[in-house]
Amino acid sequence: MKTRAIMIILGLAGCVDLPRDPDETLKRVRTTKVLRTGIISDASSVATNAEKSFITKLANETGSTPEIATGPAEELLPKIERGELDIVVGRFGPTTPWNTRVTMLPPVEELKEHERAPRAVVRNGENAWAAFLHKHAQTLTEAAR
Amino acid sequence: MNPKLPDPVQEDLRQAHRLEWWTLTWMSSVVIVMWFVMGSSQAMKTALVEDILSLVPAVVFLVALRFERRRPNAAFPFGFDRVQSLSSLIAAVALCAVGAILIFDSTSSLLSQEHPTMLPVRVFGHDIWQGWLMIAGLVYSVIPPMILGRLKQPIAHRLQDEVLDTDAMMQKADWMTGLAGIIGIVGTGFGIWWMDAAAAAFISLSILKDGVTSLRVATAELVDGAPRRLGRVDLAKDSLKLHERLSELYPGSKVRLRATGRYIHAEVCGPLPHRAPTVQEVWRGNPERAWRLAQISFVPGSGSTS
Repeated sequence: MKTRAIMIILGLAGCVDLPRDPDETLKRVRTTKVLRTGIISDASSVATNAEKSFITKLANETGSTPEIATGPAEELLPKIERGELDIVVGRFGPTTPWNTRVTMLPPVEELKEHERAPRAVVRNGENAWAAFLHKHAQTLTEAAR
Repeated sequence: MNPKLPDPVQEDLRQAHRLEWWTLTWMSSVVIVMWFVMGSSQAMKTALVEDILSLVPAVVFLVALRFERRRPNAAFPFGFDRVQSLSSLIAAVALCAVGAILIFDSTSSLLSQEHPTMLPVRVFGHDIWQGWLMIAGLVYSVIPPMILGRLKQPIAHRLQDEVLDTDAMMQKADWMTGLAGIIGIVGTGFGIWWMDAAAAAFISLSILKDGVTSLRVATAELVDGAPRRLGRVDLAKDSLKLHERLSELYPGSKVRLRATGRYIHAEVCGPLPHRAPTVQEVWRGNPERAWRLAQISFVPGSGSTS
């Protein structure tokens, strides 16, 4: 019974192309071939090779070219909220106040109390884009180790 | 069961008792399922709070029934019939709370333009969008209240039971909220971020309306108001006919009726009659509901018809 229910859910998931983005981020990145990227670079967070190679990998997967902007989190994350950037990468801790305003991948709740680790940040509600990044976000943290 | 009640009514009470235990069992399982699939979704957390609150009418019904069976004693010489009125007030407050929480949550989500994010989760080695799991959980949460609510409604009417009726409304609120949740998640899946909150806001109005009506009826009972129709604020037809008949039999007397739980108490204030009337003489409503007339008191006084 349980297996059948799971099969039905997986079947439905396969039939309907869900989720989609309210702002069509994934579709736009693929069609415009531009990945508007922010890399957090300030006193507490300096971009590493792991983060840069993650962006390159993402650009390859979507057939796009990254357009990179660097700056502090306070400057880049509001741009994510407004939809002016598609992705931001940087280091965050589990208690970051940005967690409710934007979506962190993988979720920061997985981090230990004082741990800071690289995270990909996207706009809230862009579920297709977030699901796409979710597949790759683990590589960001693995490469950083 | 209450010895005053005829056999079919006692059987309905037994059936209601069974249904409420079924409600507690099924709705507890719904709470557990919702707990596992809710993730970090605020909407699902609200749905969980509502599911927990929805247990309140079933619990107070069972408690009230237990008290109703008790005989009057020195400390409670009028018995415990009115526990039912108190319970219906508690159940009505719970229903209002569900409506109010839902309306607050959905309106604040709409105003803050909250875009719900649902990430994939790993299930048996497959990444699956969390929305699908939530929909599965919500489908499960919709079925038991839909069936139980429909089973309770006719029994509540036969028993004139406000608590059971409010509980049936709570079950309606449960399945409507679940359905709104499904519509909202599908909407979110299609990129329509506001659909979740809009569907919940729309349904919360209907829940709040039911809750406020129940609250008015329960309050009317507790302040010795005239008997109301079940789940309605207008006066019960049976009681209007009873009032008319008593006024006819005892002209010049003041007739007052009030509901205590499922029963009607009548008071005739005026010249005392030579003999007490039988129920058949005064009850003009449906004879199968004559059991509702629990007492007619005659109070000496000048009286005046009202």
